[in-house]
Amino acid sequence: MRLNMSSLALIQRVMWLLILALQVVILLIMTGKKQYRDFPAIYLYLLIGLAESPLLYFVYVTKGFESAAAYWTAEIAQGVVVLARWLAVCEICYNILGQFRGVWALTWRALFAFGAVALSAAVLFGGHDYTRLISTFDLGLEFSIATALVVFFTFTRFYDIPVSAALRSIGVAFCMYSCFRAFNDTILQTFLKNYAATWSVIDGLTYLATLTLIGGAVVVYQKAQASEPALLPSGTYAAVIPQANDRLVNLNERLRQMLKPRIGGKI
Amino acid sequence: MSALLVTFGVLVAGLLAVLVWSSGRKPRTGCAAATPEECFTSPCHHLANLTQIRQAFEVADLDYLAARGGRVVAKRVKGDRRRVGIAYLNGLRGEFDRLMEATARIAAFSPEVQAKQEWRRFRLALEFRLRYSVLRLKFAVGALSFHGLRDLASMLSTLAVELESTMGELAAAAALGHNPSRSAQT
Repeated sequence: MRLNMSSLALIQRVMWLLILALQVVILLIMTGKKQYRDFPAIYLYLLIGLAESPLLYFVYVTKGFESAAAYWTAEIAQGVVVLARWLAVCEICYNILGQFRGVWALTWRALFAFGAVALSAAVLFGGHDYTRLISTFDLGLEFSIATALVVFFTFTRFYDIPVSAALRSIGVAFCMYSCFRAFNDTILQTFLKNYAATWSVIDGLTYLATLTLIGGAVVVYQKAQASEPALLPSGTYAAVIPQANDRLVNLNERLRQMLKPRIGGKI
Repeated sequence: MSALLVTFGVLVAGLLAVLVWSSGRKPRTGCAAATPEECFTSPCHHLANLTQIRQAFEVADLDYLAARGGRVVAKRVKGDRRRVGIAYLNGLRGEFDRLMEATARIAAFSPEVQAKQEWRRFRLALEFRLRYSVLRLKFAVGALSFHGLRDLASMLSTLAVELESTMGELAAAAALGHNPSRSAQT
């Protein structure tokens, strides 16, 4: 079944209403549970997202949908929203890993490096002409958020750091949203205006799914009662890990020798 | 479809795949301890079985069976022993995973970690896993001797014992209020 422009517009309006309602509900829950203390950046991100729609509506009504003011307001607002999401992502990462000081010091540098590489790659290879510049930058930011979150979850798995279901859910929601948005932006880059309406609907749907996951997470989230983990004495790492790594070198060397063809003693 | 679309599509699919993998639970290796010290309490389970495994690899046994019981019996026994050997190899891999988990915990619970050492450990563990996979494959087709397996087992045991003893020293030094790095290096 092919959707025409009027059906797309209708779907879009219904979706906007649903998104607004969900944003209000999540913010009310977070306010009621005083979660803005634990997650100020996520709270701010949702507030900015909530304020974005009325602002755009006001500009569209007063200046016109096709005006330069409407175009720049939408783009700048989008930029602010993406940066707020970056902050929210940093907050999630810090909430999960911040207590593990040594690993966190390593992780945030890695996240910064991977995020910067992803952003640079997307901006460099995403097309350069003027009409695509902002969506290219948006694509780059989304791609860097997704990459940073994937690297972050890989770190938590590697170090076996416990992650609460609620925080994991928010992280996964942000990562999936950024992935879909980056891909959606890429399709937009390719087909431009022919895809604009569909792009908007898909974007709305993925945002709705993201909000649903965040909503579920803020409902079930309970602040951990446990205090900070007891860290090992400062010299432990230097005493154990290099030694273990040296042993691993020997072990690998042994394996390498075992893999060489040899004569006799086979089963 | 443009190359850009395909490239980003593949990248996004890859990111989502890694996300699914990384956000899943790590398979437990039996080291579900709350602190890293507890991971070293009972290493080297495999050492107790080393003698039996050695016996299972004796070529003379198989020659004897082939001479007395015939080729069919010898072949069956050989297959059984190979399965036992593979199970032993899996046990060694489990031991290695437990040790890696313990070292990851030490890093996680340390106030400072060195990026160089972490990268080295990650690379070496990856190298071990790759080589182990090839080794297991070779073992499954019967192209491996007991000597190699014995060496591998003893090296894993040495690593486990060394880590355990270092952790013990550190715990003792911490209890006495000494500098743990100094006592471990001497």
